Amino acid sequence: MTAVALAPTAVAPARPGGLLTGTGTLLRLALRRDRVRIPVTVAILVLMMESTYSAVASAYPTVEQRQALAVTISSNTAFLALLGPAQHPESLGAVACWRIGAFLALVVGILGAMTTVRHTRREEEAGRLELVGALRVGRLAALTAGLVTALVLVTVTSFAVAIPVLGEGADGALAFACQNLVAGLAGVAVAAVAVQVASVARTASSIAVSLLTLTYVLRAAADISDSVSWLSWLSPMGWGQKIDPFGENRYGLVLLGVATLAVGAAVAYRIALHRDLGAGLIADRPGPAGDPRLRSVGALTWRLQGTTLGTWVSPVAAYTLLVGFILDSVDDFAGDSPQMQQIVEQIGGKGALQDVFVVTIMSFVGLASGAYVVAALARLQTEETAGRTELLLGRSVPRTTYLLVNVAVVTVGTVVLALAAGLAMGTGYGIVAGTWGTSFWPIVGAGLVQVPAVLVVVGFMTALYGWVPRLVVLGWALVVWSLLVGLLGELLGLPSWLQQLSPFSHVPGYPLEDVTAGPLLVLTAIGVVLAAFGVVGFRRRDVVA
Amino acid sequence: MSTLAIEVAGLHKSFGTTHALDGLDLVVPAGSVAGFLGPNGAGKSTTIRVLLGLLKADSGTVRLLGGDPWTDAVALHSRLAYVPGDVTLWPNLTGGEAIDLLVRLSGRPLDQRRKDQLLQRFELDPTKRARTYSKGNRQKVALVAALATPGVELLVLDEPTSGLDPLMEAVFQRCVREATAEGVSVLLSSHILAEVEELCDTVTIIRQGKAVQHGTLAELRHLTRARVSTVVAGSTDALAALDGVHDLATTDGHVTFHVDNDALPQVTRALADLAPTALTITPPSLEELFLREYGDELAALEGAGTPAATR
Repeated sequence: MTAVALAPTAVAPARPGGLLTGTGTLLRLALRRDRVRIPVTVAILVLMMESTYSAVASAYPTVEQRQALAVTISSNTAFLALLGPAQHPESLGAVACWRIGAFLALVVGILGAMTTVRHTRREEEAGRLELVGALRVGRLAALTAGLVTALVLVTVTSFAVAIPVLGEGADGALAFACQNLVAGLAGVAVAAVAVQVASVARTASSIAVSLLTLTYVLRAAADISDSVSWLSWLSPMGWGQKIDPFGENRYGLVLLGVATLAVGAAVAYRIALHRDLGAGLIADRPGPAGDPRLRSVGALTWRLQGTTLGTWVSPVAAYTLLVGFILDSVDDFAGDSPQMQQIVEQIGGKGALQDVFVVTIMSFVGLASGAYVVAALARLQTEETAGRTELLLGRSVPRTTYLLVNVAVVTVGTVVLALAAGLAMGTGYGIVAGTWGTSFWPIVGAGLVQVPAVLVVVGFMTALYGWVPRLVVLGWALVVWSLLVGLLGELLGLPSWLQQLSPFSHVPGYPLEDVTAGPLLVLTAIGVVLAAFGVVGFRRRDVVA
Repeated sequence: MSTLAIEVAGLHKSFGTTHALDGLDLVVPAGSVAGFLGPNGAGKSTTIRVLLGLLKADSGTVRLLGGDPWTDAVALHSRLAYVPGDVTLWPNLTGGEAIDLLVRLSGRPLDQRRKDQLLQRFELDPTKRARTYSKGNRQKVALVAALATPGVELLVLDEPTSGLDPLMEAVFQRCVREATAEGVSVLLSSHILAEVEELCDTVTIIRQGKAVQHGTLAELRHLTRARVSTVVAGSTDALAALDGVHDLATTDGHVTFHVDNDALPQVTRALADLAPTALTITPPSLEELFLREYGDELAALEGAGTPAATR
């Protein structure tokens, strides 16, 4: 309820305002919008760091074992590319940080970039900045608030993930925080410019993520070949590596990240000061005046979801291909270490370490696939509240068809993802090991056995959307829960029924274990029943706009 | 086919504790243009969504083109076209692609010539991505898609001209007239009274989920008073004394008053005796009708003085 004064009131003379007027208010708004997102992100990453640290501690407890590991790594190109060299085997902290560092830095960088885009260009694209810009708000306030929000996230994350290794030495932990922070600052810097250049949030995100991935590749190239080792000076991932936590601890290099941010922000501010609201440097090109192929909900769904699937398939395929390259040398790491054998036992098999590795990586692919399903099907709710579902259902489109087409496209997507992962890993392995016949199909199979578990996620999302669309976010809870159970289930000693709530806990560890049809059929059946239940709900409920 | 394109009786629909529709009645005879009037929040869009089978009625009867909009939605939708009041399109589809898709999803083939003609008439560039369209242009995309759908028997238009400029509104009105000439029925929800007056055969005014007035414009006008403006030389006392004359006011020989429709014969006779040198009798406008229905609300708003609650 707002009161509107009809009688004229005295107008106060306008207070002078600067370019940054209103930043504080916008910042509070942004932090409020992210009040769940930021803590959840931080918690997940801290748990990942904790699980890595304890895994390294139990697999390589002695200096000798870690030295053996470092030697093996230094002779393995694929590992050098993925993780970089293990520099200080004498320190457990250094090895734990090395094990996850390259990956974590990339993640923190991407998080910084995505958060920047979310609070700047996405707001602008949605037209909300127009509303805000008409208020007593400075021209640079929204950009500044977005940047500060992203900086809060990357700073908190960078320091929080160092907590698990704090016991190994405060200096090293601080250096590890700096390592992540450098990447995070660079991510924010890159995104600050990207959101000025691209007029569409998605384009800005892909520009920023591609550039960050490129810096990861530069670092990898530098680690592989001494002749181009200077390349890592061009990469924030390389700077992070040179900070060398639990080794040299060169905190000062964090200034390179600060400098990058300063340059990025300066460029962004300059463009922002001179461009129109809603405009970017990349103009929208005109498209076709019609499309004869666009004749069904299926065609539309492929068109809308196809690019989404592509953005999930390519990193998964690239990652699994790299893993395939490494796979042949995994056996080297176990050596005669009884601890490692013990881990293998724990995972539940006496087979080759290679198989354990395949199973582990494929379970991550399964989870990634689950995340894809949640993202893709949560979009149905966005479409509905935006009023586009109404536009379709106002035409001669049955509700069942609409929902099932979307479910079918996403289901095909999960199979494509699993297949792509299997084929990429099998191919990578085949190239390095030179053997195809005996290993290729089992690896592909290891990817495909994930599909029934992902189908449960499909069914769960369909049921949520069919009955209570505003609860589709619960899909993320299922995926995150499954991730935590996968990472920490055994470690935390969670009761087995809690662990079994994760559909992925029922996936057979093929090729380590044999595949039995039972669990796969049950998972598939649960997925199908849930989806059917969702369709029933969608046929009965109101379509809201 | 039924002689009624739309027949709604005693329709109720609640969202939680909000009673959006409270026993609404609405009738659209086949081949006619029905205006559906009411301020924001009166329940116009809710009614239309029930008519499209997007919302399920709590109680009451709803018939659309002789069928049940909830159970026969798909079959009925191939015989109608709908333009929402607030059009959202797929951001990375062009306007032309969205039109093609929407027409085809009605189960009808696309008539390219018809589409091109409409694009030209509405001056819409179909090659632009939908995210770059203004509100008016998004509205045009939905209008072109609706009007380009061949074989449609009913147009359901929810404030279709919000965001259109007056030139485009004229184009829209011509298009609707062409459609009705082919026998298409139209339900036009609007709060632009001039548009309804221009296009509609019948009008339903709703208020808080209930129809408060329904009839042809002529019938509704009959319910209220005509406005007379004249210039006479002599005394107007005789006129003022007549039954059915209200609010008579004289300024420098210029006389204005309201007159009940059934009192017009006596009043015109009395006027003739006064030898008027100028005379206009204006039928009540839709605006007056509308204000009469909502007059108490307006009075309450104004009477309450400065702080008025907005809803």
